[in-house]
Formats: sequence, structure tokens, C-alpha cells
Amino acid sequence: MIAAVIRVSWLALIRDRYALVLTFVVPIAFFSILALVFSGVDGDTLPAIRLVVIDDDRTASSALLVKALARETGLRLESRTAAAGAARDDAAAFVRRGDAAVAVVVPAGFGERLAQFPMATLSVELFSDAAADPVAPHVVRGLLQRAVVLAAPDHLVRAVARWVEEEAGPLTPAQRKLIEEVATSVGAPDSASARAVPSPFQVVVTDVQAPGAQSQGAQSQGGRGRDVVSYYAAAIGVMFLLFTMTTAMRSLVQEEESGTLERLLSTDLTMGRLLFARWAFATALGCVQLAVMFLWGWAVFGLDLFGPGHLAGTAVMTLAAAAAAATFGLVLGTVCRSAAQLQGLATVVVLLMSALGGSMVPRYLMPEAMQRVGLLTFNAWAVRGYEKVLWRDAPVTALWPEVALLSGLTIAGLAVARLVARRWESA
Amino acid sequence: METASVLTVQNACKHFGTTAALVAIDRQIVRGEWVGLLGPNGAGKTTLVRAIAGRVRLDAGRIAVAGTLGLVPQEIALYPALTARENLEVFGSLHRLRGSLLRERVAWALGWTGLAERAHDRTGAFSGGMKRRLNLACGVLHRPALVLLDEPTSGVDPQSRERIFGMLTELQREGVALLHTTHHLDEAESVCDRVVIIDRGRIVAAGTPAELVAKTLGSAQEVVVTLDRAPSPPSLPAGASADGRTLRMASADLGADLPVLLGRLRAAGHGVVDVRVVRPDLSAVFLHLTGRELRE
Repeated sequence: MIAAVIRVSWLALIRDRYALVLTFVVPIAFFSILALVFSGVDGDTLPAIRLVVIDDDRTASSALLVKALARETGLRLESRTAAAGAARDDAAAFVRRGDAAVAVVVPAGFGERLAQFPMATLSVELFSDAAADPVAPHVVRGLLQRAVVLAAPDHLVRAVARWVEEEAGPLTPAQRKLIEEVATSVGAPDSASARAVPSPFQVVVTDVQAPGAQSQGAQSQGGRGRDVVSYYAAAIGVMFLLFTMTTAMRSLVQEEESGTLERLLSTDLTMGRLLFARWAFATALGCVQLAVMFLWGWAVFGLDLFGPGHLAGTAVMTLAAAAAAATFGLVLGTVCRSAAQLQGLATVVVLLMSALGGSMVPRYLMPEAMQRVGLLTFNAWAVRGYEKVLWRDAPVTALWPEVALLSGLTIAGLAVARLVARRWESA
Repeated sequence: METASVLTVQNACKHFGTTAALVAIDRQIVRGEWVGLLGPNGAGKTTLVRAIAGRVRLDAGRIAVAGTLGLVPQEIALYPALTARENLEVFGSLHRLRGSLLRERVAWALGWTGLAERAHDRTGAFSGGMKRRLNLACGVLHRPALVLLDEPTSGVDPQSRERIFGMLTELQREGVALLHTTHHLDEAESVCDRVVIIDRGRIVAAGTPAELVAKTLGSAQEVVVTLDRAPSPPSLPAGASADGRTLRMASADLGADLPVLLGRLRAAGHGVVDVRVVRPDLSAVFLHLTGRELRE
């Protein structure tokens, strides 16, 4: 009986060229255009970049640096510690998992080297994911250099004086006194002269997704396809998934309008089975739609679909996302009183969720408040799950928050749809 | 014909808010009986049919159907993207027909509807009459004991209408009971064994069309005479009324009354242009009982 309903849906779909184009061609076209346009994108400024700092030096100087960074309004700083020798790996892992846009390691010996000049050996390592957020590392690098200067300008002045003495001979007592006065002056809090001190050290930027960036062998072979293509494959795929589901569920309303629902319910088919059949078909259709989208991304744009753990993670996310999206469509299909109402409502809701949930613009580009609001949408969780798999190499087990939330939405949505559909059963 | 009851409605009551949709409905339909259900819009026909189909929960009373039920909605409840055969297969499956039985019934339905040659065409491209026939077939594919027909000839041409009645007559001969909701009183009068008139949720009359006419309006017929000019009141015979050149008179004995009437008119110097005898029909009964015309 369920099979008969699924057969109707299947035959209706494959014979409707318009629906086929909307389901499979339009999403791919959108994705391809956006992937082509934005695959080389860069940016200028970002609000509140999530920054993790691991202080491996643990000296007064390094503490001053961390404090200076914390004062930057453009950064949301979280200070972490790491076991001996694990700072770099930990920092890379933070970024890879998406816990931070950028991670900075203040290396051991930082404070000691800060007192020397020139500072060619003094470096701070910055870990970022250029694919996930191409802008943040540039911003943090600039802020970091400024912070070093603001953190210990007096150290710098004294270090320069020692270098001059070594290279050109001892300074006179009067010269030393003058330099000490300058050092004391720039070291004073809020000293305006500190801003004039030039950048004195190197910032080594490491892209955690670049080949050879990781030290624990988690890197896949032969480079990675985790660029902006991954984002748009997921983001556009998820948005069109919602459109497809609402289109698929329009048949429910149309059946009600045409009297077919009355006939269906006069057979041995129950409302529960009818809804389940529609939902199961829509879920399967959604899985196929997303699979086609990712395969296209793999074939044309080099999406790393077959990297270690990627296929399994993508499959899990696809199933969870398709099931939740099908439920979303089912709820709309049961709530709306006409096909026109469904179409109008679905368009507004899907576009709104897509805009807030990061299907149109990456959420990291949004203000923080909007990012938080975005978490109320289906899109944000679905895209986040794919992001974990395709960008951050997360294992399938790491997808549990996204899968749990989407599954929860599915169960709740099915219950709501079943309750609402009671209006079609008996009066 | 066996008289086993396939539908029993006992004291069926249903209210929607303060509106009484069904009030103490009692009725039976026996095997092979074709019953017309008539009533103005909002009379309770749809509620009764939906209650029989199990789609309306009664406040009181009971409805029992012996055997399976077939539903033929007024709307074309088919999937236009599917072929005639596929539609039949889908609805057959939903009525739990499987395998060879399903194939056999689909073949029967295609032959019965005259659509065997169009079996593989999508129904979206069918004419109105073809869709109606297929709509009917999808509702009876599983050999129901009782078929609920809601305006089964709505929007079809006279030829298709006759064909559909032919199909329904075949079903009736096989012993299937038909409950036929319609706005076409002439249709109900010509094809239905019995007619039930419902108004404001109550059955106001029930019986064969002839019984209803006799019971409601008696056996009197109406003579309508068109004259060459408007008659003067003194020249009118007793019981006659005039409206312009048209004169009307009820007659219980046409053979005796008509010569007398024509003689008096001639004596009064009137020329007779036309004479018609109008028998009371279901429309007159309906109007008399409900005070309303039956219009779609």
C-alpha cells in the first residue's frame, strides 16, 4: 500500500520535466555559478573573529601579548593551555574542528627573544583555515603585530639600544639615559609614541588544510578539494533540498483539492501510511538530489567527496538532512489549505531560513547576533554538519550534535504533521 | 433480486457546532438497489455520504455497511501523470488487490470503460467523458457491495452520460447497490429505483419517483392552454387561473375535464393556440417539499 503511494510519487516526478529540472538541474546550476564566482574570494574585515591563543611561553611578556590581544574588539579571544610539545597540534585541531577561526601559538622563548634585537628568530605561529574563512588570518596577523608592539614597547627600545652597542660600539651615559627615558616613556600605559614603533617580528601563517600542515597523519593524500566548493555544494544543496521537499509535498494539498485524498482514504490506506509514504519518498528523493549535487561537485570542481571518512560522513548528513527537510515539507503540506498558499509560504520560509542559515552567505561573515539566530534554522545545522565532514575531516561520530538535532526535528515534525492531518480524516 | 441490506443507517445524527447536519436519519439500501439522494446545497447529503464512507464521526446512531464500499467522488480523483492502467493499478493496490486478481480486474475495468485502447495513455490528456468513466472504474475495481456516487455525470455530454448510466446499470445487474447523489432530478427520476430527499439534515421524503409524486402532489395533472388573447375572468372555468394568454387548470380526470374546458373557451370566443398536459415530476415534488429549486 505504501509502495503504491510511492509509485505514484515516482511516476509523477519522472514524468514532470519541470519538477525534474527544478530538482536536479537548477540546484547544480546555482551551485556551479556560485562556486565559480567565489572560489577565489578574499576579504577585508570581519567582526569578532574567534581566536584561540595557546601560550607556550608562559612569561610576563607572553602574558602581556595575550592581554593586548584580548583588548582587541575585533577578536573574541579564548586562552588555552597545551601539554608540552602539543601546542601546535592543539592549535591546528581547534581550527580544523571549527572551534576557532584562527589559533595562535606563542612559542616558548618568546619573552626571552623579545628582549633581543634584531628579532628575526622571534616568530608567532598562526593557524587558520583559508577555505573556511579566508579573511580572518589576515586580520589576526595585523592585530597580532600591533599587539606585540603594544604589549612591550619598552623591551623593544632597550633591545634596539643593545644592538646598536654591539654593532657600533658602546653608547655614552647620556645616550643610555636618553634611551632609557624613551623606553620608560613608550612603556607607559596608553603611550601615544608606542604606535610609531614598527613591526618587529614574523608571523608564520599555517593553513591547517594545506598539505603537510598536520603532524599526526590525518592529512589525506594528494591535496584536498576543501575549498569554497565544499561550502556551496552543501549550502546550495540544502537550500534546494527544502524547495524540492515543499514541491514534493504539494501533491498532498493537490490531492485534497482534487478529491483524490477522499478517495485514497476510502481505501484501506490510512492517513498515517499515506504521510509515511510521502515522507519516505521525499526523503529518498532528497538523498538522491544531494548525492547528485555532491557527485557533480566532485566531478567538476574537485570536491573531496571520497577523502577518508568523507563518504560515510556525507552519507550520514545527507540522510539526516533529507529526512528533516522532508518533514519540513510534510508539515507545510499538511498545514497549508491550498497549493498556492503552500507555494507562497514555502518560498518565504525557505528563503528566510537559507539567508539566516548560511545557504546564501557563509555564516562567519555575518554579525555574531545573526549567527546565533541562524542556529535556529535547519540550514545552519545541515551546512555545519557537511562542513565538519568535508572541511574539517571530522569523524562520523563528531556529527552527533547535527544528526541529533536534525533527527529531533524530524521526529517532532512528523508528529506535528500527523496531528495536523487529522483535519483530513474524520470530522 | 435478493433483499439483503448492504447499508443500514439508524438514527444517524451529526451536528457541526449549532448546525444540525443530520437529524435522526434512518434508511436501508438493499443489494442491487439504485437509490438517488437529492437535496439542496447544505441539506446534509455530503455529510451523510461522508458518514457512510467513515469520514464523518456521528454524534449518535450507527451506520453499517455489509461488504466493501466504493467511492466515486464528483471530482476527477485520478493522477493525471499516470496512464489509465497505472491509475487502475494504484487504486486496485490500495484496495488490496494483488497479482493476477489485480491484473484481471484492471483488464475488466479497461474493457468496461471502453478504454482498453487508451490504457497506456496518460489520463491528463483524456476527454471529460473518458476521465469520468475511469473515475468510476477506480471506485468499483474491487467489487464493492455499495458504491457511493457523487454526481457521476457532472460536466459530461449526453452521449457520455448515457454510457455512464449503461455502465452503472451493468453494476446494478451484478447486484451492486448504488447511492447516487445528484442535482439532476430528471436523471434521478429516470434511473433510480428509489429517491430520498433530504433537507436541513432530515429525510423529507423517500420512495419511488412515482410514489413521491403521487404522495406529495396527488394524481392531478395540469392543463396549460395558450389562447389567442387574454381571457376575461367571467369566461374562465372553475379552478382555472390565467396569466396573460396562458391559462392553467388542475385536472384529476383529464378525459372529462379537457373537453369541457375547450368547449367553454370556444363558446367565449377564444381561439386555442396550444394545449399541453403537464405531469407532476420530481422537480415539482422537490420544490413543494423544500420550497427551493434544486440547482448546482
